[in-house]
Amino acid sequence: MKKDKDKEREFDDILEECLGRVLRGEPIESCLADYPEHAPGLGPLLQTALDTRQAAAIKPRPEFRERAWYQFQAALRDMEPKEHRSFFSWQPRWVTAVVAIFAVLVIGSGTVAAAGNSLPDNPLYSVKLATEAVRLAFTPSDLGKAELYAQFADKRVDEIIAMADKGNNEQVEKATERMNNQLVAMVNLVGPEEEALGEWGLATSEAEKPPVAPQEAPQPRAEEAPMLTAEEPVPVPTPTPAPEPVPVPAPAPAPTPAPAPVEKIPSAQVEQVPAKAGEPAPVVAPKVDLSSANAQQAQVDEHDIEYAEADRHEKLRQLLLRQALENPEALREVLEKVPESMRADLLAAIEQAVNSYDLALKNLEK
Amino acid sequence: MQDEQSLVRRAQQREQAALTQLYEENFDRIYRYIVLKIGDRTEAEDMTQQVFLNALKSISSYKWKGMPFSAWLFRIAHNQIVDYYRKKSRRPTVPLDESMAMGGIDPMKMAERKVEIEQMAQATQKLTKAQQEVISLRFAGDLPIAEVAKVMGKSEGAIKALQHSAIVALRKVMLVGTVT
Repeated sequence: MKKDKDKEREFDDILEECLGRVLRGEPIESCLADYPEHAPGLGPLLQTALDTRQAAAIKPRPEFRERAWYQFQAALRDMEPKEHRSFFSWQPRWVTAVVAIFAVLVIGSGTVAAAGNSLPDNPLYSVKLATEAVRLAFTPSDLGKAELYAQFADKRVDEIIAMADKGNNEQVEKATERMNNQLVAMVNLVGPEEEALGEWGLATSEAEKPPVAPQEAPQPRAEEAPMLTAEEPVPVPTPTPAPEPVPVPAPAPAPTPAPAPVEKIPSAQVEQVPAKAGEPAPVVAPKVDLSSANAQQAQVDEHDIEYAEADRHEKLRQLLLRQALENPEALREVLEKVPESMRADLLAAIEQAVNSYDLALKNLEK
Repeated sequence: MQDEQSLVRRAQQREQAALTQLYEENFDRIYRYIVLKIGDRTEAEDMTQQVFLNALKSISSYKWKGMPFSAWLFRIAHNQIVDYYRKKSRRPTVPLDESMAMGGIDPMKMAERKVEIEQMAQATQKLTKAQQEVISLRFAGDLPIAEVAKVMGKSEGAIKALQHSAIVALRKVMLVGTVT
């Protein structure tokens, strides 16, 4: 067995040596004379190789050569001359990021937009990553963070494709690693947390849980949810008829338009507004007595929050469903563009992406 | 190799002479490589042009790692060919010429040793992707075995074995036409 392998290897070496000689113009016969024992097998292969070389020995048409050269020169002229190194090219990356963020704050959102589209080989890319980190830091809820991680993973996939197209394998590897980390973080955030999950599978703190029964609703602690409750924590008075809890199917989008409907209007000002012809009837705030207005308002606010959470939950689910379909497929196409040595890593990343999306979606369904 | 490294560095500084030299040294072989891979000279012209425009755009991000510069250009060309076939697969295809669909090359032409590159391209389509790649890089791209190994990310020994199997397979494909 080993002998056969050695023989094959020996023949491969002889073939390569003879090919080199024949392609340089030496006659096939002279090579065969040097290896008479291999001549019967070697001769036809050398002839085929020579035929292939002769068939491929074509020249581009002069008109095409001229046109291509003209366009190349035009593209060269269009490019900015790189006489001086840019400020960003010699600074450490973190300095680039800090300076760029400062510039963003001073100059405005233009740079953010530019950085947002930058690729890993662009100096503004570190600004893009820093902006993502800032967005994560300013997103309090786990669900919001998970959504951001999913969006960032989408960007990483685009970057992997773009870098593979440019043949920049180093950046393909880095973007793949970033994507992996972000998918893992996303899965962890939507992972099952039995102690925190309520009926809706959404709430992450006591304050965010929907009230099961109004009478038993725990008084939210102000420090836990400063932005989520009404102006001040309102204990639910027992004599007030509580509004019916609105049944909301967990994954479905909220039926009531969430953004603006509930403004704090004194109940005395609330009037019935007749619906215009051809338009859906406007949402009308029910007339309530003044003593229970605050309590009801608090209830309504809580429902809005719940609707928004349900919306966000569904939005994340839809985003992950799309990504689970598209991203592994897009990455598989990249497989053909990267060198053999990188394929194993990329294949592992694809597998991880598939598993991450699968797991995250299962957790969201719970 | 040292010379090429400094040439590339100068090209990265947008030095016209260096860019022109890299362009001239690689233009014909990139064109031949693409023609042999796709078998269509007109498409190959556009794609060759695009390879060099893409290279010009990205040359500042190119990092020297001891690989010949041409390896990078062939990778850009390869990626464009992948895109070309992906787009083509979404469009309705024109059936192959009948003699080629059977897998052979015109026996008369074979006997005269006048095989056109388009026919050779059709014949190489019958090989595996790795075999096609090694044939295209070696005989159209004029790359020595060591550079083919670098472009394909394999050892020289593996490429020699692949080259052997590719030539054997290509010979079989070409003989089908002469036998029938």
